[in-house]
Amino acid sequence: MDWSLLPTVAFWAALALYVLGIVLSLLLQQARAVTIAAALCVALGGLGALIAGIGVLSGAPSPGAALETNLPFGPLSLHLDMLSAFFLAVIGLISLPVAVSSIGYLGHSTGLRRLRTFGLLFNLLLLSLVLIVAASDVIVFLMAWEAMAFLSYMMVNFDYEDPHVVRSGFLMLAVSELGTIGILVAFLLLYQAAGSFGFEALRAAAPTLSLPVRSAVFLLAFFGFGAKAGILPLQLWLPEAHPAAPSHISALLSAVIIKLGIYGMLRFLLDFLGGPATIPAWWGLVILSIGSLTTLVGILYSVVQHDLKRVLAYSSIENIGIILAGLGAALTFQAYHLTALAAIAGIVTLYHVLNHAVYKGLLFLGAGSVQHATGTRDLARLGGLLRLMPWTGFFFIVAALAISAVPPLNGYISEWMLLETLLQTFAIPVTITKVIMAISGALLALTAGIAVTAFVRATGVSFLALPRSKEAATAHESPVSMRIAMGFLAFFCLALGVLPTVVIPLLDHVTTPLLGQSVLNQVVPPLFTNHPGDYQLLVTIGGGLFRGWLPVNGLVVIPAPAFSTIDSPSYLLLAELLLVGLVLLVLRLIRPLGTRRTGRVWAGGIPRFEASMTYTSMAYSNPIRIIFNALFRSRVRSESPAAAARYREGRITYQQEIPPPFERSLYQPLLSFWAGLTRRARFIQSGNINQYIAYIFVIVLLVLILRAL
Amino acid sequence: MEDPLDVETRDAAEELKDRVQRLFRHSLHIRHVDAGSCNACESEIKLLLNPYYDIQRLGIFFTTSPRHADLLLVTGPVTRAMEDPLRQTYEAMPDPRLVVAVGACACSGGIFASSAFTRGGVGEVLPVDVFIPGCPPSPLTLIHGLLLALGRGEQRMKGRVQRVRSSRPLQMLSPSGGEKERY
Amino acid sequence: MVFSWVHKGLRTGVLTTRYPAVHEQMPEGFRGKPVLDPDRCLSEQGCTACVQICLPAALELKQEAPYSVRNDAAHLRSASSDCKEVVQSDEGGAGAGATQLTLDYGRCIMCGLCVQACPTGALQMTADYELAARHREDLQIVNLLEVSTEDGGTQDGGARFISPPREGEG
Repeated sequence: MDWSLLPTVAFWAALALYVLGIVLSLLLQQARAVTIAAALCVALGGLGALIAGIGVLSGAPSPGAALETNLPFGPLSLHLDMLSAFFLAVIGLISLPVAVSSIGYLGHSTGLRRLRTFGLLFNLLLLSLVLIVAASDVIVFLMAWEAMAFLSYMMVNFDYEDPHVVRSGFLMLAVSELGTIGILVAFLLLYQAAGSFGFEALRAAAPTLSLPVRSAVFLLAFFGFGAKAGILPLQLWLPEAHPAAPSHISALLSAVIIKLGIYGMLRFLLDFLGGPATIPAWWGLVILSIGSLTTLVGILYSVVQHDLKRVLAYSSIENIGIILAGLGAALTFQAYHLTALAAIAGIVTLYHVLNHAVYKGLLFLGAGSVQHATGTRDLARLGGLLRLMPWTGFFFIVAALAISAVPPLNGYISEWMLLETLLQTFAIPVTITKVIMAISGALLALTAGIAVTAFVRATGVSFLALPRSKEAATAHESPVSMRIAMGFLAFFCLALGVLPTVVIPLLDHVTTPLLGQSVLNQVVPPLFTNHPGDYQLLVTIGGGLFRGWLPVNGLVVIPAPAFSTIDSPSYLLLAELLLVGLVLLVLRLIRPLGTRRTGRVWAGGIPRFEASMTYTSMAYSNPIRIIFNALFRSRVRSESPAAAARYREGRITYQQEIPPPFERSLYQPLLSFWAGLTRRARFIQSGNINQYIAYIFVIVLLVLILRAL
Repeated sequence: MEDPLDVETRDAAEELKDRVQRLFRHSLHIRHVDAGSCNACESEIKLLLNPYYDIQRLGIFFTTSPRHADLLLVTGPVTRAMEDPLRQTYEAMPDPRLVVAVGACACSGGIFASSAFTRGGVGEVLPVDVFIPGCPPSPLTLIHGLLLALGRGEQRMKGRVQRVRSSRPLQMLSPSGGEKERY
Repeated sequence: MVFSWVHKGLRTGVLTTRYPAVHEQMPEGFRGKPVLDPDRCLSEQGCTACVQICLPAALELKQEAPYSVRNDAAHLRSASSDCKEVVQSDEGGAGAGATQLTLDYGRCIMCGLCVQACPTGALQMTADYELAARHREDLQIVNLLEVSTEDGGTQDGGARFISPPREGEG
């Protein structure tokens, strides 16, 4: 059997499975059967996508197809190049556990019609996602893009009885459409130069555009796709929509769909506009600056949320900022012809896309389990869940550690490599660029610390200590399918972190055609060969361990040139295990030498623990709120009547309100301005038939006059 | 007359205790618990940290967590409400550990000894290593007591027998009713 | 601001006490531990002035009744606070009861009322502050009202704690 054809088979099988899922959702009669059939089709389709993506990345021939139509748009073509294959793999990797968990999540309380609709939409959505990344011409891309926007809107509205959910979904759709306008115009500008809708033609035509036009395309594509990704001025829909959707859809939204915004950016900026054409440095700096600000604002707001899923939504905004920072760094290095550094930055960007997808998916599935078990997402009502939901809690903690960049999990390697890459700013000759990059690096380091705070708070308040409400006290463990899904993702959190040298070669295959240089042997030095050359020192100090076990160059990562820093999460894990083992061994050996006494937990000598004695989520985040209050502009209202102050009777109330970012400073002024404009233009729609006839008359007259000219 | 309970007698347990106390010879961390005291003793204890008495020059420090503490310093007659927290604090301390009772109340219940709401001194609740009498004991008394606990000081209260002779001449007293002279 | 503190500190010098290396004398009027001179004590004669005035009951008087108990005399050993009436103990050779005056320093609050109440000045307040003890029993002083010849009769180091007499006394 020719294994190199497997990816192609898997790709088409995935598409076929999604279609099968649509059919089965409509035909099957039992609610449970519909759920399971739809989920299995998505899961197996995801598996196929994953195989296809990894296969193509590893060098197998890429599947592709072109469909000639009678439409004047040219052939509708699909083609998986390296970039598409990577994102296809991400889609597959995440949709698999999301689908499995939906079996358990959509328990037995939802009606047949809704489940049917859900199964249909789920498969259609995944189909559109795959088509977006596989698209090789503008029409397929845009059709799939719009389908994705619309379908995700429908899926967010799963609980459409709740007006809040409906509003959030609508907001998401509105901003997405706004972004689509930008994308559309960007494509059209390229099409004008190319004359054809195929991506090949666009790629060839881009260098012929003048710099102002290319910059316009850049800005339109960046903000257009950025609206979907959730970058700073356009992030307003994300914290509303992600919590409103059912949890596995939130996982899909946060882990996969916003990454398609990144895919679009990469496609435009690195593929079409990059390459041999020169990139001005300010493009990269714009992305870098917006990225770092997005990161900071995202994580700060994440710390002060009281809804568990909003914490995760703002954290997604933060991570998109990190990805943008990587992309910005890559473009900036590229502009100064430091292609090696640009390629490393590109690898880091892609690695973070993958990592964030994995751990954010896991976090949302965990939050979904919590909501499923307790019926609430409010941090003030959760607590003590670790004892009642040990598996869910464990996986959630793994994901929280991963997102806090704790080695040897996956968040560590991508964030560390990004910081290292940003530190290479000294290689750039222009001072202002150096300064901007250095400031971005500092902001990213700050947000890394605040991210730890945010996740210690979210995890600690929900899972540790004591239950703060009856719902939390009566929680039950998640169904088996959800646990399997979470375990799958947790495994990848560890695997992607411990074996970065397996992932980096695949990413290098993506960046090499886009950024012009393969940096694999630089980032992953070939220590497992017989002649390590420059890296002999590394081999001597143990870098040759496990040689031959894996088909990789080595297990050490050097993200920056000339040995400035070296790391190996693989050996680090080994060292950690050995150290822990050593400590346990020593403790076991010295056990007869000492006396052991088991006692109660020391808690200040109080007679018993009560939930009201534990940290509240508001108290834990209060220092951050106070320090950054210039950004939050929070409003605090506190009422304590005199009788209550003397402990006699009465009630002390404390209200804290933090409006979403830019709400009062940007959105409301813009919206009121726009509303004012439309109100003034209202006079056109007078309801008077005679006026409308007059309009027709005037327009016809104008057309005739213009024709004559 | 020899007193059978002369303090010079030591058994093996006492020897061991001495060795343990010497572990903390120059580095001691104290956790203080107020088991119902009137806070006069606390006022004297806090003077230990001022520049005049400065027990930190002797290697003695105060710590907040019993998990970090070597010595438990207790004031107050151990009221009912504080008995369990006091026990919890003691149990939270890792071995080796010492207990010092400060003040008349902690030694014996003091003026609250007959109250139904106190246990009558720390000795009723915990094994005490050093008793420091006083009401309140002055900071020098406290230093002497702490150094005694560390094996760096000498105990001068011999108990049981006190022999004091005044160096002044005595005046014969009339055995009945007559004038007395006070000395 | 910081420099003025440094300057002040350097100017003031070291104030810290050198105790325990150097003995520190307490100021006049300091109440350390009360001590009893058994020669002057009238407890055998029935004086209970200090016992009655002691607030925390640190001073206790115990008497072993002689074998032939004479109710009238034995019961009269009480109550008189100024000792105007000194009751003769019945020591008619029938085996006199031993008087035991116990002072429990663990209960003593060093108020000095016993010193004021003592008619003969047998109880004196010293400025002794080294009072700590390892055992509870070490704090319970049972005065032997017999003179012991074992040691010189003076507590080691105790002499330096006895305050000099005030003006107008002795």
